[in-house]
Order: sequence, then structure tokens, then C-alpha cells
Amino acid sequence: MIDRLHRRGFLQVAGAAAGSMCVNLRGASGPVEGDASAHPRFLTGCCAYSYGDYLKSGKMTMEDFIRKAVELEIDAVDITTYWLKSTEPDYLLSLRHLAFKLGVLFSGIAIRNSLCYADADKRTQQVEEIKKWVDATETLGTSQIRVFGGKIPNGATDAQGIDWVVETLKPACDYAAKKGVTLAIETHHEITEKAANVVEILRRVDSPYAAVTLDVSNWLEEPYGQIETLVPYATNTHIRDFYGPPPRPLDLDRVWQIFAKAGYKGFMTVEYENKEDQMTGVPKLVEQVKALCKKYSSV
Amino acid sequence: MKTAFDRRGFLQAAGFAAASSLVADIRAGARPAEETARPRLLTGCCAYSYGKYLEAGQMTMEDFILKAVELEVVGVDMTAYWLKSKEPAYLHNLRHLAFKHGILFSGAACGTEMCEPDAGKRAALVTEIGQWVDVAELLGVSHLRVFGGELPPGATVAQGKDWVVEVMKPACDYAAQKGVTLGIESHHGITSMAADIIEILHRVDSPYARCNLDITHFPNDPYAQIEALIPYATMTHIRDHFDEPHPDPIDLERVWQMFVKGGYQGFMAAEYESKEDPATGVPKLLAKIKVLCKKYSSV
Repeated sequence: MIDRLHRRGFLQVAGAAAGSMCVNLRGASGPVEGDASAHPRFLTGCCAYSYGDYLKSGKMTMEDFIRKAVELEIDAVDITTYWLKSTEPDYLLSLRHLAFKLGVLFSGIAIRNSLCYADADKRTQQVEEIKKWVDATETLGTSQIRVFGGKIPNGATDAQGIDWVVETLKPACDYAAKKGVTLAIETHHEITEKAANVVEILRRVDSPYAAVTLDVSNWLEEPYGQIETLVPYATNTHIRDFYGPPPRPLDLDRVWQIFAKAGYKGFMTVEYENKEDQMTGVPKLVEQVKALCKKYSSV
Repeated sequence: MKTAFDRRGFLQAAGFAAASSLVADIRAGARPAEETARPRLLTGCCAYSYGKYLEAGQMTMEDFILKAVELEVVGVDMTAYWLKSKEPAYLHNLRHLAFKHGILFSGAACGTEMCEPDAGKRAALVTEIGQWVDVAELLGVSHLRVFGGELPPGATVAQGKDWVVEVMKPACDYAAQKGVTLGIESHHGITSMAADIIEILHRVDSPYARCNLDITHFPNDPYAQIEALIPYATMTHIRDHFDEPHPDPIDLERVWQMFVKGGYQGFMAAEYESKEDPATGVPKLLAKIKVLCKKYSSV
């Protein structure tokens, strides 16, 4: 259902080389072989971030959030790490055990970081920081971490920024691979503003443990074309019902069709960020996501 | 729709007055009412279902994971008999393959039997289970099926339970450090009767000691015994016929209703063992499981 004109437009903008990269990477490490669209698998999920107001003010704990998933009747939760009380194994194992007993799956965790530092020492620090979170991910028994690309420093070019991201992500992925953990860079403005940049980063990192957290909303323009480009590399998603800035409505049915056509297999994860109170707003977005997963998923 | 008669009959047969109060204790401790109000029944399949093909080398564990995409189930259970090795690189490769295909691991299953009269051999069994816990950790799963085992000739049931507890307790202490629950399977021998399993779990007294509820192996009063174990179950094995000597068809609808009533939250995993070739038989059993999960699950 993708608008061909948009797709062509994107490829022209990105430059002709991007197209062949895309094909190469799909062949080498794309998530799906054979008839990709035969069995799309959409599992329902929600980020802790969706309840950020409540978690930040202490009105909700991570344990409460895991229990909330039972009430929301979704498959999985994504552990936004900002509100973890600690990274002590005892605490992380207690969260893992709580989720296990409730039949709630972890889709992954999400950390706050930047891969885009001009300073080599800062890049090394970032790698060390990510390693700690890889260890925490192992303790939680899940297999992916959302990482951010980060802001391009003032005066630097996209090309320089991409170099720095690659230099940071590559050694981090080497470490994560040893633990069975994938690092999924989020489409989140800045250096990851354009799908073509994300594809180039992944091609150059060249690790099966480097992937994309496809936030469907963080685009200035051409959301559908950019989403379609990145679906083959996506191992997680962030779902909202608008894109921007400025905020414009996003046709979620069209988004699901794009994912289905590419045979996406993974979580469709609500990351609520509207103005309505999260207690009433999150369930509404979750209902939309559940209806679409039911419509398009093979499971 | 269990009858009061079945239940009474079971309790009398078990000759174990404490059984009902033990059930009440653990149920009250582990399952708050607001959580059990929403049953979560996730579809799954054990590798054992394809044992004929895995044994003959006509199917690898990689093939089995990919088969789950075709079968359109949420999770797969990794019966360890056909793992090529316990090497991290191999296990991480399986974990990554499943992750990329949006396949969840419901757990792993080893063949260790705990009912061992010799103290030295029991110590070796604790070590052996520990090695499988390490495998579970590398796969990123939170559940490991273990067996009770056959009662040696001349030994009493009371002695058998003592030996199982002596193995399972230290094994659970180790598993707890890795976030892995040991699920003792209801599987003949010392685990023929629900009351004995409940007593074992009560004496092991660990949040990481639970039951892998195989619904087919009870010598009498199967529905009452299944119902007694649901509060302790973190995993199931589903077939549509009881085991010998009374291989009657199982009223799966009745079984699902009991799991709903017990507030079960976890996988309903096909463990196919009928005479028909698994290639055609497994999908038929899964079709029944999928219909029932769709009907009764909140997710």
C-alpha cells in the first residue's frame, strides 16, 4: 500500500546508492527469509515511557507497570530504564520473575544515551555505559536495547556524525553479541532523522546484532516511505498516532499494511506521548494497536 | 466444569488432609484476585512434538524455531535433547534466530530425574540441573522443566519425596540467582499424584519452584488433579488424549475453563505424541489449542 511516488521520492533524496545498500543489507542480515509477507507476526506491547508522568512522580513503580500490562491485556512490556530503582541483579531478577509469573513478556529495554560524540574519550565512555546495560538486559532475560543516535554537534556534518555513531555502535554490538543482545538504534530525529542515515549506519556497523527501533512518529516528512525503508531492519517499534513536528495525524492502518507487506515479526509497542492523562490516554492507543494487530497478525 | 464429587474423590484418594490448605496458602500468596481475573493463555509448542524428525536429524532446532512461524504460535519450548551443544555461541545463535522471527521461548526442558536414593548421585543431579540452568540463561528463558522420576523398587513414596526435595531445593537456590524457575513435570513415578507434587513444592519452599503441568499423565481423577495443580503451574504440556492405561480423549474445553478459573497466566504448549505423523498431527492439535486460547485468553 506504499505510495510509490513517495518511495521514489525518498530514494532520489537519499541518493541512488542508498537503494543498493538496502538490498544488500536485506540479503545479508534482514530479519526475514523466503516469503516474507506470508506470516507477519505482530505482538502487542507498551513502553514504560507511556506512563512516564506516573513513574517520574513515584505514583507508579516498575512493578505496577508490569502488572498494568495484565490489565491492558497486551503481550509485552518494554522497560524504559529511566525509572528502574537500580541495576542490582536482585532487583532486576525480581522484575523478571514478576513478569514471568504473570505471563507478561519483555520486548526489551530502552536507555538514554548518545552515540554521536566528536570526542573519542566520550565515545569510549558511551561504549562502557552500553556494556553495563547489556549486562542488565541479560539479567532481565530479554534480547534487545533501544539506543539513541544522538544530536549532531554544532558545526559537524551528517557524514561526521555517522562516522562517530558507527565508531561507538560497532564495539558496543561486538560486546552485546556475546550476550545474545541486539542494539536497536531508534529513529528519533537528529542523526537518525532520515531513514537513509540509519541504513548507512547499520550497513557500516555490519553486525547481526545491530538493528532499528522503528519509531513511526519521528519524521519531519514522508513518514510512510521512510518507515517502509526501515521495516526490514526493525526489531522493535514505537507506535503513536501522529508524526512530526509539527504534529500531523498518522494513518496507522496504512502503517500496519507496510509492516505486514514486509513480513515484520516482532512487537508493536505503544509509546504514548499525547496531552491527555496517561491513565486514560494509553488504553485508547492500546486499543487501536490491538485492533490492528488482530487484523494483520498471523498470531 | 469440575464436579464436587471428582474433587472430593481426589482428596480422599490422596489421603492428604493438608493438600487443600496448602493450595489455599500458595494461591493466596502468589495470585492476587485482581490479577487472576485476567487469564493469559499464550499458544506454544514443544520441540518434543517433532521428536521423530529431530531424532532422525531430519529437522534441526533452527528448523523447529522457523516451523513456529509457519504454525503461527507465540512461543516454542526448547526440549534440550536435541540441542547440538551447550556452547554459548550455538545457544545465542538459536536465541537470535527466534528473536529476529518474533518467536518467544516459553522455556527449556531437560531430562533430569530427581528421585535418587544415593546422596552422592543426588549431588551430581544438582550440578546437572545447574548446567541446564546455565543453558536457560544463555537462551534468555525463565523456565526449565525438570522431572521427578520413577520411585526405585522397595522405596516408599515418602522416601521418594524426600530425595526429590533434597535435589530440587539447592537446584532452585542456584536457578533463583539466574532468574530461572524450575517446573517439576506431572509425569508418572513420584509425580503421578497432584498431592505429592504440591507437598514437594511446599517443602522446597522457593518462589522459583513451580509445576510444569502435563495434563495427560494422571492415573485417576485427572480433571481434579489438573485443577489442584493450576495455581502452581508456570508451564503446560497439552495433548488431546490421556496417557495409558486409560487413553480417553481429553475434554480440552473443560481443561481450558479450569485454567481460566485458576487465573493461569502462561503458555499452553502442544506436546504432541500421537501415532499420526507429527508433520500433519501437530498442526491439528495446535488448531484446537489456538481456538481455545482465542476463546478464553485476555490476550
